[in-house]
Amino acid sequence: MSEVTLENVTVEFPVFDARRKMLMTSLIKRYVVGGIIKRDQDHKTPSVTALENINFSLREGDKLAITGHNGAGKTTLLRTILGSYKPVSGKLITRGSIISMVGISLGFDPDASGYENIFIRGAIMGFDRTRLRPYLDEICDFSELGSYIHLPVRTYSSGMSMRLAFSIATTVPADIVLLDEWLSVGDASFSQKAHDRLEKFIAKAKILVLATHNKELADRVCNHFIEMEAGKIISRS
Amino acid sequence: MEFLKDLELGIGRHYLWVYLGWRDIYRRYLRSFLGPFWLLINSLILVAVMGPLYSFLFKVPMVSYLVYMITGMLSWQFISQTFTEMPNVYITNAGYITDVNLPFSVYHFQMLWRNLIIYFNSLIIIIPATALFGHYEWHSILMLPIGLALVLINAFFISFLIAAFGTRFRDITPITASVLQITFFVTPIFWKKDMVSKYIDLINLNPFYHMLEVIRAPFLGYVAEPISFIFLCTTAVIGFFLNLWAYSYLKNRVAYWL
Repeated sequence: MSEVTLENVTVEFPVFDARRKMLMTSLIKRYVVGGIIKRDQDHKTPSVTALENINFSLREGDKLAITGHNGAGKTTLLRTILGSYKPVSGKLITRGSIISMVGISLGFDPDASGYENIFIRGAIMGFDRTRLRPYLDEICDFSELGSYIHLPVRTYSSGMSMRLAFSIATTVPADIVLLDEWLSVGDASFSQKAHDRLEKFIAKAKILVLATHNKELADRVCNHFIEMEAGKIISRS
Repeated sequence: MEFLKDLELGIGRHYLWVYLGWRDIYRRYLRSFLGPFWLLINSLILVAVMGPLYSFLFKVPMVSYLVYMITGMLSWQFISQTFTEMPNVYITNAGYITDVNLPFSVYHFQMLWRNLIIYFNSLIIIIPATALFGHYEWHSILMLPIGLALVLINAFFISFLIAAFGTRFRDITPITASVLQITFFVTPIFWKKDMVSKYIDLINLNPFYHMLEVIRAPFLGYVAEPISFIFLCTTAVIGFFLNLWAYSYLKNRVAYWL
């Protein structure tokens, strides 16, 4: 049973300017007597409210599309569901394995071969070598890298390394998939193939959360919709 | 309890940090001819130049002093490098923290493992040097795993705290560097404890002395004094409970501090 539930979730980012980031100002504020204190006491660390009272609940079969302008809080919402940002207030409940499709080439080692990088990415996503082995051939085949797979990633074009990252990320299914913009990789022919693969991958997931600007795509893929603005949900259907 | 959960998950991900630790070393030295041996060469040159000079200044026999100094220097390098890297553990892993959300202990295990590999590499010098010119006592060499374990456990708990503060206050990195630099001089590394027998109590207050002593003594043919083991066990217990208490607070904020 997979689930994603947010109850009144609020996320705020403290903004430390260069001066506040220094240890000295904190010490001065507390221990040194003088003019500085007063000025600093009134001066609380400003913060940006990235998400404000977000409520929704997703069950198995729910595919949620989040739309909104840049800075509306879409990516922050995905990271909050992933568990990276702990809400300052409200409650987040997730059940099931989560995979985030943000930063799918994070950890790629340019000096290691494509083949080795499959294991690195696999380990980051939580699979050791034995669990990854059955998928190896499929990843290599799909990425269409041929014998390039045994060369260092440094020698790849950016399109090639994206293809590899994409192939790895869309191989092992998860219960909850978080997708920040539809991934489109490669040239025209590969792009169509990748699109089909991503759709199949998502079909295997129990819950999808997709942040996107593309309303047409959202209509096609998802069955729940929210629109965000400045950290709030302004409409849902 | 969340701290224990994090530890358990981190240990479960051993294949990840073992691998990343090795890769870190490999990448750092990929195209250099001598690789991690450069670190050894630096220490060797220092010992070769300073060793004879100090043995003259301190009026102690040169060979045994050189053995003492080289074991001390290389053991110190392991401890000081580990502590130097602590404040940056989360900063260098910012991408993983926001986009992958790994258990935090993974980053610390990776950092310690990487430094442990470099330390093992330095044994290539320590072991022959002490075997040829020092004297081994079997019961003392058997204490090395225990000493090493104590140092690593302490470093692990301290790293959790320093990494979080280092993320919030970016001054911690230079502060750590200067503290370590001073510590190098006030810790018996190139001078011996019994040269300042009057201030033994003061030396015993220095945690770095105890960490150094439990991994250096095994090569010098004696067992570190009980006080070193007691000291490190005590700090490990304190470190454990501090983390048990502070873990959730720090973990929930680190992502915002990056």
